[in-house]
Amino acid sequence: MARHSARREARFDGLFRAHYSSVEAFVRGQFPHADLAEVMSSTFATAWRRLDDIRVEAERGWLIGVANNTALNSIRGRRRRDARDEAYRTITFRGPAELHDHDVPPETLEHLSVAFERLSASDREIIQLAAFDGLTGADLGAALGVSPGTAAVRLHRARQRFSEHYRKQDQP
Amino acid sequence: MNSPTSTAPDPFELLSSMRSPDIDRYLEPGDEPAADALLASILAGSVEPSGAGGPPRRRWPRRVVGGAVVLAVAGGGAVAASRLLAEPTDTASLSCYSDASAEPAIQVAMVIDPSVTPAQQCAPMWSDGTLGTSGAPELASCVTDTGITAVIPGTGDTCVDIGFDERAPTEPGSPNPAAAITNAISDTWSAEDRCIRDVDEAVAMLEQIIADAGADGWTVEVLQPPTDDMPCVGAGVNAQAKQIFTAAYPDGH
Repeated sequence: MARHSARREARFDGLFRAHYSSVEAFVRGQFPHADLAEVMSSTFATAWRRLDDIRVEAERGWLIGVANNTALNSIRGRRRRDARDEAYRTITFRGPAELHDHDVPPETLEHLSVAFERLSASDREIIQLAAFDGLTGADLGAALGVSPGTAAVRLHRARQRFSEHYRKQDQP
Repeated sequence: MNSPTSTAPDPFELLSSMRSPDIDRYLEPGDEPAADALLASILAGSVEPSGAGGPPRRRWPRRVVGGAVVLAVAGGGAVAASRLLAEPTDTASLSCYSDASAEPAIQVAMVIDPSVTPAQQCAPMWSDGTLGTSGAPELASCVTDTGITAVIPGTGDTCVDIGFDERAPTEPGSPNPAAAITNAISDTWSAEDRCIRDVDEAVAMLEQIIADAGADGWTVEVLQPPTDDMPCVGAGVNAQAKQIFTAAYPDGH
C-alpha cells in the first residue's frame, strides 16, 4: 500500500512539474480575468484526486480541459457559452508575443487575426489549443472531451476554414 | 509573406511557429516557490478542488446537428414495469456517469445505440480514458428523474440510492426508430458541415432520412423558421409524436 502511495505521489510530482507551466500559460492567456491561483489549485487538486483516470499520453490535454472548465465556471453571472465565446474571441498568445522569437511581420499578424475572428467559437478554441498549447492527438481529445479521432477531424476542418478565411483577404 | 497569397504559408503553421517554448518548461524544485507550495499542499491533502472537477463535461448529446443539439423530446412514454423498474421517456438519449451520484464529476451524453445495451455502450469509456482507464466496473442502467437513461457504476439498488429508478432490461437489437433517425440527422448535418439556411432544403433532407429509416408515421414540422439572428436550420426529434421538428440557431455555434 505504501509502495502504491509512493508511486502515485511520484507520478503526480512528475505530472505537476511537467505541465504546470503549460497550464499556467493557458489560463493566463485564455482567461486573464480569472483567479489564476484558484484555477491552478483546483485543477491540480482534481488531477491528484483522479490521477488513476488520467492517461499518461493525455495528461496535458486533461489538465487544460479541467482548467478550461474551472475558469469558465468561475466567470459568474454569465452564461457559459458567452464566457467561452469571450475567452476565444481573438488570438491569445501564451505569454508576451515579442518573446516568442518569431519573424512573422505585423501585417501578417493582422491577416491572421482577421481570419481567426471569422471562425466559429469551436474552431477558434481548437486552433488555439493546437497552435499555442501544442495539443495534438490524445491530448487534444482530452482537452475537448472527445475522442482523439474526432479531435483530429475537427482540427482538420478548422484549419481548412482558417486557411480559407486567411487567403480570402487577398482577393478583391 | 506580408499578404495571404495562394503561396503563403498555412496560417495555422504560422500561428504554431509563434508558440512560446516556455509551455514545455519542466519545473524544477525551487524554480517557482508558489508552485512548490501548491504541490506540497495537494500532496498533504490540504487542497480540494473547487467543484469544477473532472475533464470537460459534455452535457449535450454526442451527436450534434450542425452545432445545434439534436433534441430528443419525450420518447416512448412506457409505464414503469414495477415500482423500481422504469422505462425511459426519452428513448434516444443516454448519459454515462463517472460516479454513482446524481451529480457526477463527469457525464457523457450521447444517442442510444439500439444494437447494444446501455451498459455495453458506456463500458468502453472506462478504458479509453473518458471515464477511466482500467476497464468498466459493474454498471447499472437507471432512469433519471427527467426520463433519460443513465449508466452509473453500481447495481440496480445504486440507482434507487441516488434517487433514480432502475431501468427495465433492454434487448440489444430492439428497433429504435427515434435513435436511428436522430443519428441519421446528426450524420447528415455533420457531413454538410455548414449552416443550412434554406428551410425547404432542410425539410427535403429530413424527409429523405425518414424514408431511408423506413419509419412509418413520422413527419417533419417547421417549428421555428430561421431569422436574421438565427439563420441556420437545426433539427430535433420528438419521439413520442413521431416528429422531426426544425429549429433555428445562430451561425457559428
